[in-house]
Amino acid sequence: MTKVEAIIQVSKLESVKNSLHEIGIEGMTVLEARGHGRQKGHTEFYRGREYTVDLIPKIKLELVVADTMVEKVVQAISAAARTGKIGDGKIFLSRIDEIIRIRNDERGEDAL
Amino acid sequence: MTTAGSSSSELRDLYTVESTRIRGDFATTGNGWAAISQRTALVEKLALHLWKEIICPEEQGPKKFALVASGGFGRNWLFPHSDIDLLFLHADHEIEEAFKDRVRGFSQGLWDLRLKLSPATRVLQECDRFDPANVEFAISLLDCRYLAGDPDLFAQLHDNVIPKLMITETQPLVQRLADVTRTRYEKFGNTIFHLEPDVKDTPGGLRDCNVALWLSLLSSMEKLHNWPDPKSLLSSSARKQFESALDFLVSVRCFLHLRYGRDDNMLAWEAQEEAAKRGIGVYDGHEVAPADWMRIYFGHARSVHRTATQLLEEIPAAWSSLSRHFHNLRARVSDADFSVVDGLVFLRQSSALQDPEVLLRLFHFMAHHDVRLSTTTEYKIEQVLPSLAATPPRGAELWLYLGEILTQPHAAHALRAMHSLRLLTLLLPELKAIDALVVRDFYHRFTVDEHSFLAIENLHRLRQSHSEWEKQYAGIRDELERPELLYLSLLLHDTGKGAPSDNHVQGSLAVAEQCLARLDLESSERETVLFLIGNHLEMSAALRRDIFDPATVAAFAEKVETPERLKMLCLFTYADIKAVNPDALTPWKAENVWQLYIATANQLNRNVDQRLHPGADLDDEKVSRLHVLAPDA
Repeated sequence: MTKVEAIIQVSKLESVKNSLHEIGIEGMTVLEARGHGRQKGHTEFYRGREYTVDLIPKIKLELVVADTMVEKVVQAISAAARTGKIGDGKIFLSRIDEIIRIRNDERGEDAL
Repeated sequence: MTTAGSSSSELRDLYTVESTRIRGDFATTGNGWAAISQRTALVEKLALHLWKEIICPEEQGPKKFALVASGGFGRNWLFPHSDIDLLFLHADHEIEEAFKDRVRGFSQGLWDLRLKLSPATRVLQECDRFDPANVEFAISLLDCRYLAGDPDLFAQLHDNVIPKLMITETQPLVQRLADVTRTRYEKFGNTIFHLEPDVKDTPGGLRDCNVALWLSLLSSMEKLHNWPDPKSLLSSSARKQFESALDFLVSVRCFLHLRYGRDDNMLAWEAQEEAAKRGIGVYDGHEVAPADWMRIYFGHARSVHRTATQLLEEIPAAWSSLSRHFHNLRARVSDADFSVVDGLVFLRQSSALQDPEVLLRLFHFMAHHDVRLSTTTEYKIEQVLPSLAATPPRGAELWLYLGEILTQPHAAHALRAMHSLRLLTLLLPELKAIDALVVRDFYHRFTVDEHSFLAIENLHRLRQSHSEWEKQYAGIRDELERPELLYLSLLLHDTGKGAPSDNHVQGSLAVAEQCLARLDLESSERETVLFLIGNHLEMSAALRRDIFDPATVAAFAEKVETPERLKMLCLFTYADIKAVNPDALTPWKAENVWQLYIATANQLNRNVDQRLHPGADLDDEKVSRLHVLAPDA
């Protein structure tokens, strides 16, 4: 089983969610995040004061999927989140040792 | 001879059979009082059986040791899955030591019957001391009732020790009870209007019923130096509504315990639907729509909460000398019409309320000074409402006062008081449709009317801001030219939810137009209010796009048109999101709203040429002429 973590632009959340639903992925965790890569920030002025906006609002998605689904999920997220410009985000993959469903103690892929 | 094992088994069978019967009776009748009375009798029977078997087989024995029911058990209010409050009362520590093992066996016997025991062990002498860290024990003694053992020992407790304790310790006891109650209120956002209330602990619930009765009891004991007649607690005017509310809440809590199979008092949505379908607590038990059933609930919660808070405010012993000094400082704000004593407003002339202006000035006074209405004043307001309903204030005169009330620092407090007394819906009938309205929504925590009051309160509370972002919002709030229009918009923005419609914004606009016409607002004022209501979701929607994309900012700037409207809409968005639930306005969202505000403010304040001449080709000559006229532009 693989954990997929994706940092995407805020405006892409709905289209990424829809893409994941289309391939049968329903469960995910959505977190409010801030950050930057090469995108860095910019300077804004307001009433004569300078504001540096160096952490851009982003959305972080987390989901755990069966290994057989990983590539489909990565493709779905990438296609929906891509604009081709700096700031599109990244996807991280990591191994998951075990999953347990709290309600009924199901384990492994049955708990996905 | 019956063995301990078979006796235990018989008791378990008895408990199971009788519990099933009580459950069945409630399912048929919906009578909460009968259910709790029967359960109290059943548990008492089991406890007495075990007492005879394990502690002492003699009637009224042993000497110097008594079994006392306290708390809910003492009150004869044992709900289907409530804890059993028991006090093991000993004459001295030697007796306590002598019976230690048998008490353990007795408690085990009750646990084996799956009864949740909440035991306390005390020596008589220990009961005459008040421990501020354990106000619950002292309060539980107010409901104590003899079950078994030495009746003389119990009589000493009931007739001597408890009255003496309550009289000598009234002030700290009431103060602690008030502190505990206020902490509980804060936990529930100081409102009764939760979409899924806890019928025990939410303000206006059963705990408030207990608090009201305890405060009344303590006040009477202080005066009489003895136990009062229970029927004399609470004024006759409060008693009827209070008792009706208690009937309802008792039935609802029984229903919830039996539904969940545990001590769970949350009126979740599914439970509301089932309670409404079965007519729980409703006269004749007929089915009602869930929203209407919840309105019945909130009506009862209102009267209970009002009674409890009035008693909390009015019992002189409830105030420490420091609080009293502070509240007497507030007495200096008294004026020609109103006097303030201990934070409560009284009318200098009782006939003054015949003049509607005085009535409106009263609430302005409340909104400005953060004072509460005394019971007497509330009663007088209720008396004049019928004549006021015949010729209610309207038009520009009403708007003059209402606008002033809305801009005062404690406006939400005054609005809630007006709403509770039915004055607000008399003046603004448009609010009737959202009165105690429950709208099923995953995010909202409160009823629609409370959400609107809370939004207004959120803006006024910016005055006490600590966070960097809230200070920024406070800054633009203080710059508003017509803040009363923003507050009026917040008051009306969700009125559309009271009408059957897919689009509450359009519904709210239609309702607001009626209201604004009746208040005789000028056309520019109406435009502003309708703009705010019609676009109150636009900033939230813009947050789902890229707020640093110039196209997003330009589109939003096009929509708001002016810096003043931008400020109002930004504050509206802040207040509205924050009023959804305590966690709705995350720092992430607050910062993004602020970023969008800055970007849009900058957009509106620059590029004048482009905005005046969109798409126009500016040739060099025109540009150079413009630079001569405005070299810094």
